[in-house]
Amino acid sequence: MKAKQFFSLALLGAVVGFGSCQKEPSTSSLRDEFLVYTAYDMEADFDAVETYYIPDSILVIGAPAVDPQGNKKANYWNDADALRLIETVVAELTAYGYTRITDPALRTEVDAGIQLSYVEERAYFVGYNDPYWWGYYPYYWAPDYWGAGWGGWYYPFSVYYGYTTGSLLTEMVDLNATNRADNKLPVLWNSYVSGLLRGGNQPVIDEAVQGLQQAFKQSPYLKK
Amino acid sequence: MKKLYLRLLASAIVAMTAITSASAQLLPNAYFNIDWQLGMPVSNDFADKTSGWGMNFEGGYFLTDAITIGGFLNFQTNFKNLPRQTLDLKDGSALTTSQKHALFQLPFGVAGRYNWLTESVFQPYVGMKLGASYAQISSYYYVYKQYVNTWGFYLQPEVGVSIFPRPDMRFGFHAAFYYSYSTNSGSLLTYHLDGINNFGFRVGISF
Repeated sequence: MKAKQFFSLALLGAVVGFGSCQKEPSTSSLRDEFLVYTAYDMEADFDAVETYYIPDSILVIGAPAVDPQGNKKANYWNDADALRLIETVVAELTAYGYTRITDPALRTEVDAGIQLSYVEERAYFVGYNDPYWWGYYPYYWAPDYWGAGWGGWYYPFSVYYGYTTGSLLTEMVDLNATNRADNKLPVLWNSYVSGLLRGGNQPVIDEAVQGLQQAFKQSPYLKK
Repeated sequence: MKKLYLRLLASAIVAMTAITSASAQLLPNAYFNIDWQLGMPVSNDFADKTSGWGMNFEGGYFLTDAITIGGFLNFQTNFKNLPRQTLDLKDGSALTTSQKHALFQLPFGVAGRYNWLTESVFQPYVGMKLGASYAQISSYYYVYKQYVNTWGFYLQPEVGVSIFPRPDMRFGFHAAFYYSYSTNSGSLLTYHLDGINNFGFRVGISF
């Protein structure tokens, strides 16, 4: 009887002890620093990309705006902060030897399109096996923004990331792509800068600028 | 750390409760240890910070006056903080982030000891533990946790002493130094772990 009591109590003690035997580190400080992830198509020829066009606005991924007819439409961010981020990307691309075309009428004639998006309040996952997350966003950068005939998008490289609130996405799309029967527009390079919120609803612009600069710094293959 | 101590205390209270209901040794020719464990990783760049996040549970049977055979299970978590750095992930992607690494080890198996002075207050021993080791290597960055689970063979020699103020009651304290090696290996991000070595110290109760 005593042995039974002992084993019961010892078992109880072991269960109590093992209850949280795997200690997790405190991660609160990690959320206060931005993260930069970049990926690219390793078969892409960036030397063939001479010119690019970048819109004057950043797409906002979040609750869509609604027009007077009740149709959803895209939200765009185009104040001074947005312009500062766009100009940061322009400065980095210029430093890497790319030529910006500013005439909107010529945006379908350039070699590459650069699109910036900011995840305002949704978190979605993009992965190689299910890359069509923008299917949830009919108002995402529509492929036909870059010219009629594009049949969608695809990443020629593996991308495994959850795009969390407060993230800035930058993508370079290949407007010279002709090698797919379905005319899908390939993403040649993307960057993901996250952790831009610091307890508020607005991203910290200085850190977003640093993040964009870091994205190009860790992508030396873009340099011509 | 408080929670760990509380759990350790709870385990000790549970054991002492059991002891008080016994008049002498709980099981004839048997021993049990519940220990707090301090682990110091050696030759390990992944998570090399000494940590007291560990416990050891062990029990055995006296085959002779000197030799015991039994079982054990212990666990240990070690950490390492890494400042922001850029990791070339080799598949065309790169990641710049601060990280916290964690190495969690949970070996279990058989334990053997050779004991001396088993009728005295201080009862020293040398021991060897052999078994399997589960280890999880994890990297925490931003809001993400990336991890790999590994398994390996575990080997752990130790020297220790059981201290029984009243040897006839066989309820007292336990202290030991150990070295452990396991064959666990795994890769995570740009890091590779090939074998896990630890020095450590245990202190707890023995009955």
